[in-house]
Amino acid sequence: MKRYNGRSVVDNVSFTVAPGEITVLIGESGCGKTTTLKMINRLIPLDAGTVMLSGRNVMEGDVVELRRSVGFVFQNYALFPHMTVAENIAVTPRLLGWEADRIAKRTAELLELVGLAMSEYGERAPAELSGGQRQRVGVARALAAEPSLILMDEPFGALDPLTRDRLQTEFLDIQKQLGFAVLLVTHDMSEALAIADQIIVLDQGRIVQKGSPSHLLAHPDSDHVKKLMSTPLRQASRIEALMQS
Amino acid sequence: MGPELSANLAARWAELPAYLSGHVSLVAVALVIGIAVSIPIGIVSARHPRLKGPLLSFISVIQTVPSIALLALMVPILGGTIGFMPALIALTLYSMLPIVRNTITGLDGIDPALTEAAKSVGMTPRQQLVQVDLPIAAPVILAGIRTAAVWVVGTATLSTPVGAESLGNYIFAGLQTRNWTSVVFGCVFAALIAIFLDQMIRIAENAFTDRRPHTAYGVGALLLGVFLAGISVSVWERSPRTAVAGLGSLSPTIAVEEQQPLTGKRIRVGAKSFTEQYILTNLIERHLEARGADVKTLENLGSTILFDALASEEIDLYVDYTGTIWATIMKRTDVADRLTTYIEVSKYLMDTHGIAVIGRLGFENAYGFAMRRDQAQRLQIRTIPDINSAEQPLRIGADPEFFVRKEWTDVRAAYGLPNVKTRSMDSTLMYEAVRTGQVDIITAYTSDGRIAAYDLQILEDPEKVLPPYDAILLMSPKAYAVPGLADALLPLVNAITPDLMREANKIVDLDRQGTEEAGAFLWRHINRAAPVAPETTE
Ligand SMILES: Nc1ncnc2c1ncn2[C@@H]1O[C@H](COP(=O)(O)OP(=O)(O)O)[C@@H](O)[C@H]1O
Ligand SMILES: [Mg+2]
Repeated sequence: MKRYNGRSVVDNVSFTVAPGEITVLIGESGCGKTTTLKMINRLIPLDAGTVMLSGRNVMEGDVVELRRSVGFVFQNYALFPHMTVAENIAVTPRLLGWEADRIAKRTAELLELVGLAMSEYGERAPAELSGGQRQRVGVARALAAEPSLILMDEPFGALDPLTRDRLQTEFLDIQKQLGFAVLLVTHDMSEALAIADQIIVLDQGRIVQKGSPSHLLAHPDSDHVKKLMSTPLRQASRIEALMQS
Repeated sequence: MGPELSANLAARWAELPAYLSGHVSLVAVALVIGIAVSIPIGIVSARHPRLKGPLLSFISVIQTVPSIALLALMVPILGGTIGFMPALIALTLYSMLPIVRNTITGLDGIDPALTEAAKSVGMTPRQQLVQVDLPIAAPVILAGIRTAAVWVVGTATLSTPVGAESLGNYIFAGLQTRNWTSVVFGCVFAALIAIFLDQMIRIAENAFTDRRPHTAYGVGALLLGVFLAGISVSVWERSPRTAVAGLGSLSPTIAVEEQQPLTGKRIRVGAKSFTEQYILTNLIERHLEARGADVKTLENLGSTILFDALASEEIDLYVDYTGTIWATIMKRTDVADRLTTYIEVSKYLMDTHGIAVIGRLGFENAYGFAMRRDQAQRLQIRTIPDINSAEQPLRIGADPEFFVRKEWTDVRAAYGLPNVKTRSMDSTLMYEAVRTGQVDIITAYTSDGRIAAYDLQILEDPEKVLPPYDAILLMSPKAYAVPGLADALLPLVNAITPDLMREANKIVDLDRQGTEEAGAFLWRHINRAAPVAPETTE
């Protein structure tokens, strides 16, 4: 639970992210998605409640250790501008004291995985990349220290639709390949439906419904959820109509 | 002119290693300490916004103190220590504002998203500071350091009066003795250091912005090398000195009764910037005001500025010394006896500038090599050439002007003195320095009250190398034409014996009284001998 000035902005939000699954937090702007996400790696302190990670209460462990074991991807990339692409990716392994060989190998491997050639992009500055390329680096940085969970705050929100779609697809591939768990925040129901194993709908700091995409589509609990579903449904039916004519 | 100029150039070049290295080490140590103190202060205040305001205003206040005053203030604050330390502390304080301010600006300007990213990747606060915050803020911080560096290089030239050797020695000495080569040397080399530092730091700044940290580190290493070289060249010369600092102030409020014939006449009296001059000005003021004149004093003028002001009739009269005119105005390099010097100076000034020499006041303020009497007896030194027989090299303290003067060259030509170490310091500080044994010999002024008070012995000058310096009263052509003015001044001629002048100087320099008291003392003495009666020209 989180309060700002006595007003609770996240309240009674309880859910589980299953290993190897993608869980999507969805809701309108200001409903408390980012707050929930940042309470998990303690960027925002909790006022009440618990966050358990691999069976341990995160408030009880060391905060630095916690953050090194959880990846985080930001909407605006937040790459370190004074470091090269390779250095950005290598940050957490370096902090963990990995050996240089292992870091170099991991960095090259991750760049390859997100579709950027080490030889071409490794020594570039973040400023020399497009938005889509930056977020590929952002994903690689979050995955560098082999976390079992990564947190993503509207990771594809700032990209143009084509790039967003390509990155979503590629990200799904990577996730299936490596099998880490994801908690992803979005306000875009189409995105949630496309990638989620589980969707959690938030409204004004509370969970209104959670379940698989198909479950939510078939059994929306409330008008609020129905409304969220209406946009992708309307788009889908229009496209279907166009294709039949 | 040719050989003189090249001799002058050679002498200036010979001084360069000491002055340049002194300057570089002052600047280097001040900047290194300034950076080491200011960046942490900037970091702490960037993180504690409540500290930021008060801290910045405190440092800004330091900045508003004129640099020459800040330097001078350090001497009494450090309990009378002169030399490297007071200059260093003042310069360090001076360097702080731009560095602290830019550190705060640089850190405040970091995108909060990057701060959050640094936390998210698992950095501790210290790692975040070192790996993210400081590198991102580095160009802004370096710009602050660049500003500080240029300020400190310039301000360091003002550290000569507190006894720290720097390129300022060229400038101060040159201005005193009309040695423009010396002034130009000081300015040019100070400018070169400033340009060099400015460019180097600019390169480092750009390197950080363009993410070429190795270039930045290279520049850093180069600067460190230059600094260390400067410090090692000058380090052997440095030793702490002690001083009695302080200047008397003159606030002329003298009650006078109206007398003829100068009633209502405005007379402007100039003075150089040392005690004896302030006292004599006060005496002249009393003397002329007693005769009805309206006296305005202009003090603290540079020696050559004063002469020019008299020649251009911006002032009416002042006291100079025959030896000074002889060397700096007449450019004479020979030495004549006291009377011949006086006569030739008077004739020269009248012929070339129309300046009238009213007469000699009765005492000399010459250079004399002075030593503590007990030490002189122990080392069996009675004359200047006896200095050569000392086993240890002796340390000579003098005002910076002296070491570029011909007197010094002549003394060395006549007596050698290969073994002495020279120490520049403000003349008000050297008596205390010799008294406390921080130097062995000083080039005392023979009218100074501290010679008797500190039991100093003036070493004999068997070859008569040191020229005579009779105090003389000079008048501008226009003032000389004012009816009754020259006559009114005649009672001052031959009125001040050497002992009387020393006593008057002692009142200020040692007894810590004002120059008014000393002026009044002279005034009482002169009028006891000959009561105010300007018309008594029997
Ligand atoms: N530091 C803060 N102080 C006060 N209110 C905040 C702060 N951060 C967020 N909030 C408020 O908390 C609510 C949830 O914010 P957030 O979690 O960022 O929403 P979302 O990510 O779902 O758009 C919003 O109403 C927001 O205004
Ligand atoms: Mg948000």
